[in-house]
Amino acid sequence: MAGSGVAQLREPSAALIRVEDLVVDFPLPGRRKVHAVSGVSFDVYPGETLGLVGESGCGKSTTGRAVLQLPRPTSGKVIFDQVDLTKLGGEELRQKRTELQVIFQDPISSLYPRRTVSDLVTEPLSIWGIGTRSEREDRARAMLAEVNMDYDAVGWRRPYEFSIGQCQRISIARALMLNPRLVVCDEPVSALDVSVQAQIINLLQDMKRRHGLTLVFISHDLSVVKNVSDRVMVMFLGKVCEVASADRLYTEPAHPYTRALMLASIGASKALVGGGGVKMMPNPETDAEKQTEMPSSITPPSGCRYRTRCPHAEKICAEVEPVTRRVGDDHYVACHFPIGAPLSEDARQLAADGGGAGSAAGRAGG
Amino acid sequence: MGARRRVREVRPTDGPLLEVEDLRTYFETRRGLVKAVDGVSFELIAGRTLAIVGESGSGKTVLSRSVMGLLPQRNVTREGRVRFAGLDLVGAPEHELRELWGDQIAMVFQDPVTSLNPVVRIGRQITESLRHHVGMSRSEARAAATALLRSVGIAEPEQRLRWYPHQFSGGMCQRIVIASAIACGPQLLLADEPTTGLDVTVAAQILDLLQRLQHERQMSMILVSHDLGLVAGRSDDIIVMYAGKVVEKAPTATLLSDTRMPYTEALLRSAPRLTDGSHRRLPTIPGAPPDPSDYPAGCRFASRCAYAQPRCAEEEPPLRPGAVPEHTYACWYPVGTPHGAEALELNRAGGAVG
Repeated sequence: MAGSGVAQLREPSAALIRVEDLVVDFPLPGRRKVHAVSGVSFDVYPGETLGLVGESGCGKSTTGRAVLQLPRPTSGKVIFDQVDLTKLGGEELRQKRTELQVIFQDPISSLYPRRTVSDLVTEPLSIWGIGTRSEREDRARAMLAEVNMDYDAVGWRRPYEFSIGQCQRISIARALMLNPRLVVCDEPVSALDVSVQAQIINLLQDMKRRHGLTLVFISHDLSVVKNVSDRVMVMFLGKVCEVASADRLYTEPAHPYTRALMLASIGASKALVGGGGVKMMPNPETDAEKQTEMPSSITPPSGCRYRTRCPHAEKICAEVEPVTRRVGDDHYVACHFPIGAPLSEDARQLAADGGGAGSAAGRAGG
Repeated sequence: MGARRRVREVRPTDGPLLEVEDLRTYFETRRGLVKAVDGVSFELIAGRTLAIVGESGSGKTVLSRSVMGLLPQRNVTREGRVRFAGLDLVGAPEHELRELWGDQIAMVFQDPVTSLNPVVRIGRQITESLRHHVGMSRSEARAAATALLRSVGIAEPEQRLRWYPHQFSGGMCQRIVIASAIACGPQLLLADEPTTGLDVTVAAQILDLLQRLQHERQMSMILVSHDLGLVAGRSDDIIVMYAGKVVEKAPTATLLSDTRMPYTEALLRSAPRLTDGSHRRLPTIPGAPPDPSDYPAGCRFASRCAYAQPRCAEEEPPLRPGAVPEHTYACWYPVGTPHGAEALELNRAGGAVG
């Protein structure tokens, strides 16, 4: 699990964004480096929402930012609308960036505190010299109205005068001023209360529909991701674990890590869930994640990066890195011993040779 | 820990461990008097877990600090009664409170990284209360700290005692904070948003840990959170707060199955759930909480409530009992009653609710 592979990629010509074998390393003193993202591939069709889930440090934000070339990835391709962004020069990239926008987690710190809302929201247009001052204001008025804010009442105010939910609305309005095609939402609701969170999620869905947006939605909250996404990619320590359609991933998680994540959030709201829809009964014997720390992204484990925490890990997991492969309709997993799906080719080979995978084979079958 | 010398022995009482009666906590600010906690009463039976739930600004954090007596000295009015194991905490001199803090009542704060001193080795931070309250020697305290670290699931505790907080992850820091909170074997543990800011898997581990420790040590616990879903599986009783007041209070199962207060219902509904299909439109609560220095007359939730009728804006609903005696709620048109259904129908017909 937690492997590389490109099985989850679909028709290249139909994708709005296609990321191939993305690698992002951050250098450390002494020739060491942080392997933040190591060989991640995915694509997003126009109008689709891809959810990226995982714990902190799994590389989901770095992946989202590498798509925007913030910073440029170490290697790999980011093909947006048939153009590889990693190959573009500074000015060409700047031109292209108008079509790619981002919404950050902390709306208060992502809005410059000394500017008025009017300045903040019209700035993208001013930079590109679009329209006259009054045209820009009209556009800001219309966009703020779409996020349920009144330009005449809020335009002259500054960010600190607003609640965190209102600041997030302003950020959304600003991100959409240039009619982007792809918006990367990096934990946009994580800092919000449940009631405000619901408002912002609904707003994002409305805006997506109205403006024909394609979204990459990053969050550590599985239920939020399920609500907004068409497809979900689960990441662990810079690798892909599982990719599937949202409903399928949650009813039939194949990767042990996906299951562990879901059990953690179901455990949190056991009383509210009641079981319907999600086929998950915790099994204390097979579900006990090894209570170890998140492995280091400076010296990641060999083979599958999840193996040090995985309850199903066998010898082969330390030796051979699993690659993504298809286990169902639009369902891809990178694991030697997935839940409710056949073993990987490598694990099967080993089992046939009478290796250590025998017991796991029995378990996966049962 | 047989040879413990307690500075003060708190006798167990027959009644509830903690009784809070009509507690009010007001802050004088430039905007006026902020009524953060405005007449809150509850009891906590020994060995149980009470969850306090509400949005930001509902007063839940101030309530937990007010119960403990951890408030600034100036510009604060604190009235009402807080009795802990027979001791009156409101008006108690600080030196008496100091004997209780960390010893009988301990607190775990939201941000584990800032609640540890960054330049002091964690071993000393954990043993501080043991040395102070129990009067342990250095080596006794060291042994106790090792055992504590092990009990909160930190491997190689002997070496880790010499580490500084920055060498640990957020989840590990929270374990260390918990270890130091339970060091003296408190009777009451207050946990204020103990898992906010932690990852789901880590949060689940921390809550499991708290539950286990509570069980093993027969502690009582107050769990403060904005997430009703999170505390639902982990508490015996729940208090829902809105605008400084308790609006509903019930045993957890009753609160979830027999919700009466429209605010509780709205909170439950607005969280996305794993069991719902994707792209489900989330029900939201319109508007924003009222200004804490200028509450409206009548029910404070009325302007955002789907059930609200003219009476709600005029008369403040008192807390009244539900089907079981432990269940109380403050609403004129409660959810799940003919009265409430009628009110909702009336509002729907009038187009007030979408």
